[in-house]
Amino acid sequence: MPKHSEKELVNLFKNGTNQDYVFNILVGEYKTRLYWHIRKILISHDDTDDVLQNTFIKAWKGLADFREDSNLFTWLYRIATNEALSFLRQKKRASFVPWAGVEKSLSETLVSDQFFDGDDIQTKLQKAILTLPEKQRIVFNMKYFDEMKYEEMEEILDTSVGALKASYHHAVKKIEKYMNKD
Amino acid sequence: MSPKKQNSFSLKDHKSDSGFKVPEGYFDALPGQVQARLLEEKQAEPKKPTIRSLMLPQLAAAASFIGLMFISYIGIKFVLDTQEIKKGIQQTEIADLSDFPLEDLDEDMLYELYSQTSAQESATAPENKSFPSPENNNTDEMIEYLLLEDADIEILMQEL
Repeated sequence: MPKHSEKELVNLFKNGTNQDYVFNILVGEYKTRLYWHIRKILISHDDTDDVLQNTFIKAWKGLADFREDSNLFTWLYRIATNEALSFLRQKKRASFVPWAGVEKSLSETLVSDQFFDGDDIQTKLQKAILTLPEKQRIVFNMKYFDEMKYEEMEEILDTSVGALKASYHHAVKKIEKYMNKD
Repeated sequence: MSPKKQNSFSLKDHKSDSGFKVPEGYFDALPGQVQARLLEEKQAEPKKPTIRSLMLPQLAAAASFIGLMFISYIGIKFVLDTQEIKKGIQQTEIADLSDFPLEDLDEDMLYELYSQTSAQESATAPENKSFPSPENNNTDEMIEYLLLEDADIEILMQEL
């Protein structure tokens, strides 16, 4: 398969000659990174699979109108983040006890998920991350696990670099505090 | 450094993966699943409306209106025609009787009226040979009429 740049892929898709082929290349290129980004927000593999497919469907529908002032990768990340957060909100609304928050439910999912086999420290770390507020949790995951630059995060989350740094700093403090308990 | 500080957890020292796994072959199968979903989406997308489908409600409304107007016209025409006929009958009756005051009518006048009407009818339809009126007591006419009616000539001669 010849290697295409983001811009080439977008232009090929917009030309409409072989959209299925072009889109297949895009899915292949970004599926893994997007999957892990969504998975760390939703914890469950099945939920992640649903949301990832929805992300690609939305990308297909919007790609023809995609403006090249941002890069494709950050655009896809933004769709994935929004889809994952919408999914969580829907889950919260459908919950019998919405005031209890989804954090508890996600923590339970983590323990019962057959596709999580972390050791004690990894399990505790994930539970600590789940205690963070929604936005802080996303910032922490993107910086700590995905090692994303603040500038990229700024574009995806539409938050200033300063605010992101502060958010990450607070998240690290909270997690270390949680991990040092007992 | 205190033992507590030495054992404390630091994220810098524990750079590890998240502990999440995926089912075997998941990433290989994913593009196919996405393509299948896309196909479903494309099939579920509503078709572009044609001019005919866009015009259909208006055409149906116009046809209904024309139908309604036609039915109304037929109904109104029927009612008006019935009224005209009734009016015509009433006028004829009034016209026939209006020449004679009702209180002055007697049997002789009625007989006279009948005789006049019969005479007028025979005048307007000469081909219909009717029975001669009593006022036209013409023998030749009577004989001619009876001959046309195949009357027995002997009985006729005896009677005359």
